[in-house]
Amino acid sequence: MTEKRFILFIYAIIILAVGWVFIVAQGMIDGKGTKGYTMVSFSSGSSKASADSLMVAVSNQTDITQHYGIEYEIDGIIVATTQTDVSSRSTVTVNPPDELMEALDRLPVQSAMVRITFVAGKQKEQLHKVITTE
Amino acid sequence: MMYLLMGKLFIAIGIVLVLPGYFLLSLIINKKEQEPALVEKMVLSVGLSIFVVDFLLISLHLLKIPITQLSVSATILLFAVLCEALSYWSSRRLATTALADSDRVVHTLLGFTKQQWSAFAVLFLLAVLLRTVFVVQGSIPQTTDLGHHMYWAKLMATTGSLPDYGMPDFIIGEHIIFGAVGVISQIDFISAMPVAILLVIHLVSLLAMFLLSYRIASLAVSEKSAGYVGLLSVATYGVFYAISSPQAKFVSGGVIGNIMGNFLMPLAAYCLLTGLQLVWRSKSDWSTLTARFFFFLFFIFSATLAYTHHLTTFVFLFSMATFIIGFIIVDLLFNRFDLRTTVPSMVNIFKELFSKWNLLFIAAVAVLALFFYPPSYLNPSAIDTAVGTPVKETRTGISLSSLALTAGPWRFFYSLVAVMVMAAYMAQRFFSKKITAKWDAEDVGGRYTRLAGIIFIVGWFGIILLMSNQPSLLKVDIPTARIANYISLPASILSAIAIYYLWNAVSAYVSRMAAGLFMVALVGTGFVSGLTDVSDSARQDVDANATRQTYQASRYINEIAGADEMILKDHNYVAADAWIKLFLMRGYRNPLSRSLLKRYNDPTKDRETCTLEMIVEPDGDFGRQCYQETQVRYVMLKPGYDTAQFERSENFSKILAAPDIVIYKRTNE
Repeated sequence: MTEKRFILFIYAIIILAVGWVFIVAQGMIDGKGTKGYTMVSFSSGSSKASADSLMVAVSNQTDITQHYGIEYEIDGIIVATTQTDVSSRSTVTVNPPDELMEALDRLPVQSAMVRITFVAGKQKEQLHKVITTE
Repeated sequence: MMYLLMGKLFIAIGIVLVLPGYFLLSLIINKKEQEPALVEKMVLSVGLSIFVVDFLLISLHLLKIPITQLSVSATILLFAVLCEALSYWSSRRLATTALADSDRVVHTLLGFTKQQWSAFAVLFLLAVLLRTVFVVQGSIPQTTDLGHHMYWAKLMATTGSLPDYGMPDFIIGEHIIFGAVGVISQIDFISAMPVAILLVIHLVSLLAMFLLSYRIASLAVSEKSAGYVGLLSVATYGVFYAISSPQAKFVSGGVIGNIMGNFLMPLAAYCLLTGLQLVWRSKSDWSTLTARFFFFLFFIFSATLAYTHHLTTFVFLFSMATFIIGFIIVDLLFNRFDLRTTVPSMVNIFKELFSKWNLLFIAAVAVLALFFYPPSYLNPSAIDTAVGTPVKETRTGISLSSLALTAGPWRFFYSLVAVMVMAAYMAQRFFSKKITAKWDAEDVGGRYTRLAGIIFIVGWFGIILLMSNQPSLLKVDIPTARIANYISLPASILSAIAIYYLWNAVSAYVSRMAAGLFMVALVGTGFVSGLTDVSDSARQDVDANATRQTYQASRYINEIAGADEMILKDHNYVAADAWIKLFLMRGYRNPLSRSLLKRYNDPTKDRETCTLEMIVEPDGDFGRQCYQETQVRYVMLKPGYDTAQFERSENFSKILAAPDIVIYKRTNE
């Protein structure tokens, strides 16, 4: 090997190394080929009067063809359930079901803890929120 | 899409890290006879590019020209065209100077056989493979240091001007290169781009260390040894202990300052020593001109280092001071304190070192640093923090055994062997008048070059050892572990020299085959010790899933949090938490951070505890007061880690849940 060939070799090695790191890192950032996850959140407000909606956000994942069951419970009692299809979108917005709003109206107290459980396969995530009645 | 991004990245890296330096080098050299070796040219081009791009972007900032894709690309390309035009013009004006063979030996890497280049290629390939395999595993942007640095680089790209840090922890040179590549390529900073740039600089620094080893060996040992020691250094620095700090781990961890410092410091030292060798070895006009050229490069790289990393600059200053003082003392000793001999030789060196152009350059940098764009650490408070008697346990020094582990035990042992051999050599020359006379007679300037090489490398090793082991003696008040990392640089060169010494000594007495077996045994033990580092340091799986959840949560919090609402996150458990601020871009301190728990217990000064209490006891009196004062509305935590109090609280709602991150919103004002 001559010096000139050596330099070309060095350039090639550096380009290959950087390319390798770049491709793997971008793959990791995009999450392709890795197991997905779900995130759920309230999108606005804290009062039932503001007609809260829920946002379900789903990461880039390969296995998102599934429905997320949502259970609403107040102080440990399930008062409503809904189904959300997130198979074709990364986020969906869910309005609180009438049963939940009616249940909140029936509450004899000033405030209550509403617990919402998202069920997707074996995965369960919970959110809670303090609802203040007017 | 991926390949388009990669293409953009390579083009941007080429424009920022190769192009301006290459053309500036062509302009400065400008004579065919002074053409450096290709390896040298490649390394100097990258170093000069960092200097040029720093200088150009600081100029754009001072001229209030927005830093945009167009302005940065056009300025760099214009600079390259200007250099080429000047180079063409001056090459027509200046006559070329003949080059003596003796000079050529100094200036180029002649003497490398095809087999040696092939050996170099194999060792370099191994060094690159070891690093890349490690870096690839953790290449998703998630490390703390890199997150902090990329915030500033992104700020530069989004605001179009250089950031005002307001703190001495960061220096502009750490971010300009990343900002420039980001602006030109338009690739998101939350990508593989930062690690890719760091990897390029680190890999080129392996070549810089090769050049420095080559130069030091040609000074301290013999010119014949230079090629062998240079090759051995690719193994001792490039292959052995390739993962541990300050190498692949620092690339992966985004320790930008150290990675760039470990490139610029050897490069500056290389230029200084090459210049000195030219001054002493040759009397031709060409060699004096070339020496001045290398001294000029020395000042360029020193200035770039000063604008890039405070700690490396600090270590570099100590190393240079040790070299200069050590050289003067030893020269006086060898001259039996005859000032009539020592003073003129020193004056001669200083005359070349501080030539007209170099003084002009130093003055220009001083004006820039004092009046226009001072490095952020140039203030009394920052200097006071770094200089003084250390009190904290982490700053009072580490034991020699710990230092040996930091350097790599094999490397440390053979460094000591080299130091002893060099000390014995110096003592032998000093006490034997006959030998000293012969030494001077057989080689013009031979004594100076030998002294300079030995004092530089031993002094460099010795001062870092002293700063790490006995920092109070030097009034160094900096975390010792951070200084100790630098020992691997001189230790790599010294251990390569030691192997050469031992092999050379044994070869004189035994058959070629036996000497070869001895060499295999010496280097083989290095492989055993140096590669255990690879398995010991094997990265635990980086949780890319948790990192992506943090990204997603950050995007969400950026959508819902009002402009005046602060966020608090937990640095202890949340993955990639330092990157949250890149999604927000609402200031370096938003989100606030609960830092490592041990940091709240600092015996040397009072620490704020609001960020701790707001998570540990959010409903306590102090916690509530902190929430009021800091305007924190959202808290980002890892589920199961200090989340129970938020689950129980009626003042917080969980507004986001994911397996590795939750966000609580403070609902009751």
